[in-house]
Amino acid sequence: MATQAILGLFEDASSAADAGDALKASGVAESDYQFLTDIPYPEGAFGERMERHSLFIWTLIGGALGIVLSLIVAGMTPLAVPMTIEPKPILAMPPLAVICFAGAMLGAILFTVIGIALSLRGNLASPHSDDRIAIGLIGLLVNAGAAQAPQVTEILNDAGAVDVTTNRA
Amino acid sequence: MQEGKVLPAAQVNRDLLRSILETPRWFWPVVSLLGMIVLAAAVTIGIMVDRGLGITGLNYKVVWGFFITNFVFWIGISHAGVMLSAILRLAKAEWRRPATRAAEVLTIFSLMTAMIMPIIHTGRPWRILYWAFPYDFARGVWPNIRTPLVWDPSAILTYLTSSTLFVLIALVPDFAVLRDRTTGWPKIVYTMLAMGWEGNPRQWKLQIIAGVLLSALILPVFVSVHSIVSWDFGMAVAIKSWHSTVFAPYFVVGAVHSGVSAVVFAMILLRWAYGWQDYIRHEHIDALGRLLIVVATGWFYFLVMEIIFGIYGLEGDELAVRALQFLPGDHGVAYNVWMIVFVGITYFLPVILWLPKAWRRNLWIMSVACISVNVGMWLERYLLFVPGQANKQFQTFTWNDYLPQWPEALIVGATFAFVSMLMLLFSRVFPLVPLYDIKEGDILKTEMQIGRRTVPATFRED
Repeated sequence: MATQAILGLFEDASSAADAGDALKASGVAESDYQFLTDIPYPEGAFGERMERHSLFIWTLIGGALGIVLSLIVAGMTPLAVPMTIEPKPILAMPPLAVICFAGAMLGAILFTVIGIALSLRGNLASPHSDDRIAIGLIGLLVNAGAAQAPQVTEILNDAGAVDVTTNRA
Repeated sequence: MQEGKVLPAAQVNRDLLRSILETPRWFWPVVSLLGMIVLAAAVTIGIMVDRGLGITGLNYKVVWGFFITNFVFWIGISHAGVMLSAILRLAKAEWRRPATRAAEVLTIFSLMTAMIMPIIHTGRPWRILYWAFPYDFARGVWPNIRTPLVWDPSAILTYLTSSTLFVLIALVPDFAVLRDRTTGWPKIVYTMLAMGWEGNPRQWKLQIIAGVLLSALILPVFVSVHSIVSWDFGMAVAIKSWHSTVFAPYFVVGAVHSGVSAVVFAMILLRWAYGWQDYIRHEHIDALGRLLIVVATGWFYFLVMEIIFGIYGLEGDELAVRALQFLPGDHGVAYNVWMIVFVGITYFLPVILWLPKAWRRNLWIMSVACISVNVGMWLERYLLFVPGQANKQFQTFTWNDYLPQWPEALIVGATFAFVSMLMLLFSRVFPLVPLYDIKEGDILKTEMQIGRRTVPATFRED
């Protein structure tokens, strides 16, 4: 069955949250609707569920990989081509620490950004957007089946949406 | 600390995207002028590569002159981005909002400029590859990882990569706004950069956590970069007057001093050029001025300690350099006069100008103070590096002096044009003041009654 993307636009957060509650009460699954805003609202402002993320794991993996790689480069280089300067050791700890620190931080930051890019789950092909969200209106985007669409539109209008638009998803 | 009126989101978009969606009449003439200066420097570099470093003032004693001074100066400027953005973001300082993006972008461009300087300084730029990267298996030429000159590229490349990613992640919501307001190939580019941003709660949560996480990760990198730059000097075997354990914190605080001053001046210029009076307000410049008083005083403490530690040991080489720096002598260059000028314009003049509140809110006075700091900080690096090399050893017959020549002056001067040009070009394609940050700040603004006074307040989630 074809689904439709129904976007309701609200002037204030309370009306949008009321619309979300009404959708939930009418049996629309939480995964089928989302709020779209132009600024970060406090988590739970629309009664939505708390989002989980695993960004820290990406950071840790990146940091660990960074240390290992920089240890290999900074450790293997002097061992492979020793440059003897008496009485300094071939494998000196301070340079290893400096380079491993830089490597760890670089790895952690790179992997954090990769983690963000993957976790955003953005709609690259056709992101849902409306110019009016960028000027402060709050969007409530609902993915509904053809049969459910009229009911969803009515709920959004009843909750005080200033406009409701429909697109085939 | 909340002045100015709350602006409608539509006006914020219109005002802050004007630099991208419309081209001011002055834009291309100014960019062209700056581009010509950069081109002249590029030609000069070509001449220098062709004819050798002999056309500069460098000699067998003073081997690190204008180029290395300028390298350290731009590394210093780059510290403004993290200082302002990461620390103030972690501290949730409300007044950071209009300043962060410009500071972060200045970090990227000044780091790029800084990295160019040692490459030019080598005289044979392509050889950098042999020294910095362990790649040449066939010839057995490997970098010596025990020297700070190899730690430097690793730290600076880490910092540059981190800062660039930091800015890109912070820009994602603004890319989405631009994606919805452009057509043709700009829309395609902004669509790719926006990574499918829609502005749902999950994306916003990740965006905020990413900002905090990257801020926390980038802060240690920021400290390490200028510490390692200071070890280029502190660990140089041949020059005893550079053997100072205070160099690392002294360099880091000095970098923040010059970097934040540069950001203040850049913000004043942007406010004037793009008419952002409602966004970069007097209260922001005032807050930065107060911060600068603390930073400048911290820097002054390290300056005094560096001099006292140097003299306290009573070592001949060190005393000879200090005499050159502070006492009148028969040298061609009066370093003692330059030292007085440097301390005066780096600390006393700006701090006096920053103390009265009315002067901190006067943009002309703040501009003078911030330019003064940066001229002084450039001089500081010069006076730290050159006299030490000129009097490298105690034997007076080995002393020499350094007189910079026109290629050095032109190339150093052009780096300022280069950074300005890049900042202007950036402002043409990306917003230099973060849209969502300003709008969020406006939404969080409120006022509360305490007794008979109504005071500004800010609601925060935690």
